[in-house]
Amino acid sequence: MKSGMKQDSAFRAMVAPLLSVVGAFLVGTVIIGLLGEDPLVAYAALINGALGDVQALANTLQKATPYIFGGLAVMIASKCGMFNIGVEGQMYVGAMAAAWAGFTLTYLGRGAHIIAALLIAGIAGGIWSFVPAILKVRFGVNEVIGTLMLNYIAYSLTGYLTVYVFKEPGVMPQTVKIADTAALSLLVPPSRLNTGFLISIALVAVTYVLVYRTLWGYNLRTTGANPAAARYSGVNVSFMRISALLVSGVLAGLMGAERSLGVYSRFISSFSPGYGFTSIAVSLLGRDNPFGILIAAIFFGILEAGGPAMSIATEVPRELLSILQAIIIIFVASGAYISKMLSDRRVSV
Amino acid sequence: MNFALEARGIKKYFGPVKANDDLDLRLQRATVHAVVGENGAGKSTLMKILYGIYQPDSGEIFVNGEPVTIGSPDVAHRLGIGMVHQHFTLVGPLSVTENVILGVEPCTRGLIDYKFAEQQVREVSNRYNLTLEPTDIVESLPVGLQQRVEIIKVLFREARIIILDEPTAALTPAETSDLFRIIRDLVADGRSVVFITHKLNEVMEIADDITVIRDGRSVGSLTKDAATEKELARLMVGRDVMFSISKPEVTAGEVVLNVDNLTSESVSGDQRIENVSFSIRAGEIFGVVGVAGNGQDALEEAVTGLRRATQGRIELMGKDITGLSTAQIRAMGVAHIPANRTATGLVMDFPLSDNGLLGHQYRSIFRNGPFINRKAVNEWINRLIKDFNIKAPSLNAPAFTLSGGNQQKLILAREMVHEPRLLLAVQPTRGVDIASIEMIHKALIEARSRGVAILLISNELDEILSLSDRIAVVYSGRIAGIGDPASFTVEEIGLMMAGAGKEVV
Ligand SMILES: Nc1ncnc2c1ncn2[C@@H]1O[C@H](COP(=O)(O)OP(=O)(O)OP(=O)(O)O)[C@@H](O)[C@H]1O
Ligand SMILES: [Mg+2]
Repeated sequence: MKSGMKQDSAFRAMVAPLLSVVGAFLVGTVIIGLLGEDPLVAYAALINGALGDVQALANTLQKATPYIFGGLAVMIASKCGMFNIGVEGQMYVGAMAAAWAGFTLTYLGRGAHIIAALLIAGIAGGIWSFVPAILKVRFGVNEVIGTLMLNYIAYSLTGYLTVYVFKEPGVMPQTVKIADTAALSLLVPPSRLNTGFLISIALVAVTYVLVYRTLWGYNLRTTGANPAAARYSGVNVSFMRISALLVSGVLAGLMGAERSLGVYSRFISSFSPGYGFTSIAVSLLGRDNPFGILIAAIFFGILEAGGPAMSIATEVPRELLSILQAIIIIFVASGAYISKMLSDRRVSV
Repeated sequence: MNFALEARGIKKYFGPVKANDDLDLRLQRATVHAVVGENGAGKSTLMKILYGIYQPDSGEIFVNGEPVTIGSPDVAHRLGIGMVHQHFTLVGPLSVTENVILGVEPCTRGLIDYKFAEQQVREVSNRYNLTLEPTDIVESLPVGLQQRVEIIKVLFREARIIILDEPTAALTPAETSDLFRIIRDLVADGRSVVFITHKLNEVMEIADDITVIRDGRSVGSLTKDAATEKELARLMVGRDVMFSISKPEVTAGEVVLNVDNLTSESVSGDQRIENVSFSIRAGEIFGVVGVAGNGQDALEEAVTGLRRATQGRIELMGKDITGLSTAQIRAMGVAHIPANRTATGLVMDFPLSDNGLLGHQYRSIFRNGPFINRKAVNEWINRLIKDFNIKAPSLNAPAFTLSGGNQQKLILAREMVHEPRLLLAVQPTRGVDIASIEMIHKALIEARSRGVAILLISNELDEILSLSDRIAVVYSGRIAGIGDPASFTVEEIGLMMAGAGKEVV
């Protein structure tokens, strides 16, 4: 009985995300149809392009990697009842910090160099989320505003550092290359899939244990679900909020490090197509559950990796996939509301 | 003759839990119909069915003799059925008017017509003498007035049948008699009222008819004149209930809590405590009574480290605890049954097991280093469930699936089973049935016998008087009188509660 109930609720948690995905693909089918193309051909090309062979699969996972880090970062803050929309900025400073360590601390040996670069990236991301955390706890500044503001500072600051301080000679707004000792090794070259992906997978398990098995996680969830009850039970709510945003920022910093150390081998100004913001959708689609986030991130990776193949095989522009992503986000956001209504209705039927 | 509302053979199962198992209810027009039964008997479930929140598994409902299907609260509104829930559903930061019109906003040209709405709210308020100011912010109102906002909401939707689920649980005696006056006015106006309560004296005072529910079944349906409190209690519980408590002699031990000239902060303008001094010994129950809003909240929070003291000292076992954190104070053996179980005592979405851990999460027996020791926690919860006879679907069931009384029992068990030095019990019997009150009182007395010092804060004067070894009456944040309960007459206490008492020390 007990496990039956658990399964039932796990099942129900998945219904809304699945329906959103199916719904989005149905809308996509209509659009492709209107463009005069065969939806089946287009989707087959998409799947084939994303999962068809080892290189395609590696490419998909490579595209999914930032979303795994980012989804986890959003999740940790949200479990504490906060909305970190500053993942993008925290990622940028993390990416810059990692690149800096990569081309500066060249006297370190290979292992030490990578670890130092990751550490510095995490710290940089953490600092970037610590500021809004303090603003919230001390001065009551809503974290949505605080984290968002710091995004703009991150863009500008990393842009400035790239162009005026660490610029590689040439036309590209990018820094000099990192030393080989700081590079995350590629798993299946030539794909840029790197050990950063393995780190993100490990973090899925780590954050799961952290949130659901530790005292810190219990206090985190209690603070998020009912701050008054948390206070009553002896939890230092301000401390929890600060530490949650801090952990969230560290994850975002690592997210940036994976790009700099594993994919670009340098920092590139404005490299992100909005990884940090899409991560919010990933965490939403993954229902704030680390494993759900892993699945959702890979799913987003499939859309992005399969897009070019689809637009080559058919006349469907790859922008369709951005539209699909957007539709999924809308459906999931409203689906969260609908399934809450559903579960209020039939709580334990 | 047809009834304003009739339910026949209502069944509602939640998995294996038979919340309603063949229930009948007949509400005569322009009467008050009391529904009584133990915690978890199925009262709220039945009301939620009549209000369209749940659908019955089987059974029929008639409104004015017509068979109806109440698919949602909207349908209920259209049928003239309104409900005030056991736990309020108000939006604190909004005004009275905004709360009342939520969902049925009167609009002109697409804009909400606040003038018109306020005028209507004022009209209803005046008609039933509810003394509500339409522009007041709801969270700044005392509980009794918040409840009237709920009542206006129902009247505003033109309900002819009004369901009140435990409306008196959080009220002071004065607020309760005001509510009864309002109910009588509503009935005189031709409306019919379903009234749920655990207090049988209230049933005898206000009800015309009574339905008794036990384990989801109707076990009695009688008129007030044919009923006695004893008989009702026997029907509800299935055995005779003891109404009086026997308190063994206990020699009080060392001083456990000493509060010396304490003045607290005021939080968002509420009543702070000022220059309060008292002490409690091991094996002593110290009762604090007063009209709600006279500093009880501040006292509760100051002693548990949830509110800062601006002056004075609090000592526990001789150690100064003023300014310590809640976690530190709890670790020194202070347990706390809070006044508001849903807002502070529980995390409603959390499973039972996580709720049972609340406040104990720092204790080393429930941890392996930074990890939570699930096995120890589950053993602990099972013990709580067994010792306090908590009715719960499973350890994984969220707290909101428990009936109100069982939620309260869960908190009590959690705070009492681990043998605290000081137990701060605030409204410990709010919303629990008579058999559980008997059990809770027994548990408090037993804890006292084992040498626990108990600070009991309650609006129930009877409870304070029958349990306490010493009492303090609070008025306006100060102690208006303190001493042996036998040294005061009830009239004197009433006067002190109203601020007209003599100073007795
Ligand atoms: N949504 C739900 N899911 C599962 N079980 C439920 C749900 N709602 C109620 N129950 C169970 O149904 C039974 C009846 O609950 P109900 O709330 O109707 O009791 P009640 O008579 O109102 O009690 P109280 O006096 O304590 O408020 C309880 O055992 C409760 O745990
Ligand atoms: Mg109830």
